[in-house]
Amino acid sequence: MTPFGRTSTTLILVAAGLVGPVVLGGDGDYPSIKFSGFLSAVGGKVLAGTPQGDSAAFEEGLPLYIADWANWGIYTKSASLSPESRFGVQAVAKFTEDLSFTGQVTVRGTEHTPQLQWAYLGYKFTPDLEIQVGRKRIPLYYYSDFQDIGLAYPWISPPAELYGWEATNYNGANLRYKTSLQGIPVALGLFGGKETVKDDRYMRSAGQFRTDVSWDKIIGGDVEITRNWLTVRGVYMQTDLTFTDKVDSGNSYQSKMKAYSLALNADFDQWFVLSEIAQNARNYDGYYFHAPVFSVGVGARFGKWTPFLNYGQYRETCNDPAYAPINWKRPSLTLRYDPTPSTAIKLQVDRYLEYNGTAYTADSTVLRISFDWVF
Amino acid sequence: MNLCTFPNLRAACLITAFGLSLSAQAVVIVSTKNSISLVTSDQLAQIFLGQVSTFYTGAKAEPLDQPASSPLRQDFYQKYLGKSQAQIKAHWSKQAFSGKGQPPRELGSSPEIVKLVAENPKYIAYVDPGAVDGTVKVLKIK
Repeated sequence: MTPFGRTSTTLILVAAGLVGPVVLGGDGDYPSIKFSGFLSAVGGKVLAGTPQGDSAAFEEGLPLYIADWANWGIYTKSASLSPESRFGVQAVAKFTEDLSFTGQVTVRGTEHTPQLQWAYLGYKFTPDLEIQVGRKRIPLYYYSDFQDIGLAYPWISPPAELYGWEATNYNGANLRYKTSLQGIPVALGLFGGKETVKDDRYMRSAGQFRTDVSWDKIIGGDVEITRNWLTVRGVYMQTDLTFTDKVDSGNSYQSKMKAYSLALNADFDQWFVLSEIAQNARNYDGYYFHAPVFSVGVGARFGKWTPFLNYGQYRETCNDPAYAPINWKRPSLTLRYDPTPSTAIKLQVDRYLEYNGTAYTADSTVLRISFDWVF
Repeated sequence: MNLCTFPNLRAACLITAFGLSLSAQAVVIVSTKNSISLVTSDQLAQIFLGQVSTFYTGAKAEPLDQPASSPLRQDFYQKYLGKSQAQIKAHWSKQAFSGKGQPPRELGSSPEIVKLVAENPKYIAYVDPGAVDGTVKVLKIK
């Protein structure tokens, strides 16, 4: 399998000629357009593991490790660059100081065709109040809306316990307001819209031939408070979830989903702690499914080096005896090195451990190395 | 092309930067048209990280940056925000690629920055004290 298609190679070559954001039309003049982008080249493999459950469902072969649930990025015992490598270009066109358009195109090792990830119009009523309308990331948990930007966090990827969703983008609108309460910066957000994921890859691994997943009536809000070394963010989102079996129409079902999280980050210059606790609850007709999850990690900065130790846990409960819950814990250790402020090299070892599980892999040890670049 | 971006020359550039910073610590300036005369380091950090977009008076505030390779820039962020350039870049990557904000506009030199700051009371910047003239005022930092 080739890690990148021809289109993406061309895009990378074009981008390699750039050393920073490119601004046309003069910074400070309107209209103007600014190009920037990101690259994360990630390679990895499962070093050791114990297969479990229905291996026929996974064409990749067991044991495996699912690093990216949304894009179905899976590591196996063969080393690969495909599961998580990605490249994106973002253009921000400003028509006036207050009106702008943002577009973002990404290419992934798992999806060779360039995807229009974002396309939205932004209008600032005041410098502190902005509305954005169009296609954008769902601002669900703390890292959701920048989870592709490896340079912005200490791990190779945000904790899979919290960031494994079938839908990551949505069509809709969001409103963002910044203010200061007695000298403390506060940011408030509201968002609403819908999204449909066609032929969901996770459902296919669960034995379905072709299932579309819709998130309708997405509505949510978040608040983020920053006080010196402490950042706190809380979010709530609800949506009407529909799984539609395209082959067997009798096998479709609906639920109400609610997700909420609290992120607490403490940064003491050299030492820093990143933590997030979340709950995903799905209520179907007659039965429910709950998944409380958390991730906590501590890191230290030594010049250009940043070692980071993390622990994540995912636990499902369901009152339907026919459903086999997935439960796992995952300690990980990352070593990050920043050759320049715009680049990072990371090495990470994850130990994935399932308990009471019947899903796919009882345990696996995964080694990954990455190069992140933002321009 | 800035020679300081070549790794082999970086040590020499750092020595030069250190030498410069001994004689020229950055000063924080606004236009003489701006009514404020002091700023706390908390307020400075909030403005330069894009967390607030006004001065404490409620008037619009917009920060300006020195070039990425500038030793003044490294000193300023380290001294008043306690952050390295890698941390600042990570912060703005998060903001820019989540549609929440763009990094401060970057100008080529202290004299260019002074010229722009003088014109508009919304700007706040840090410059080489040698570039300060009667059109801008140096803020006290609490």
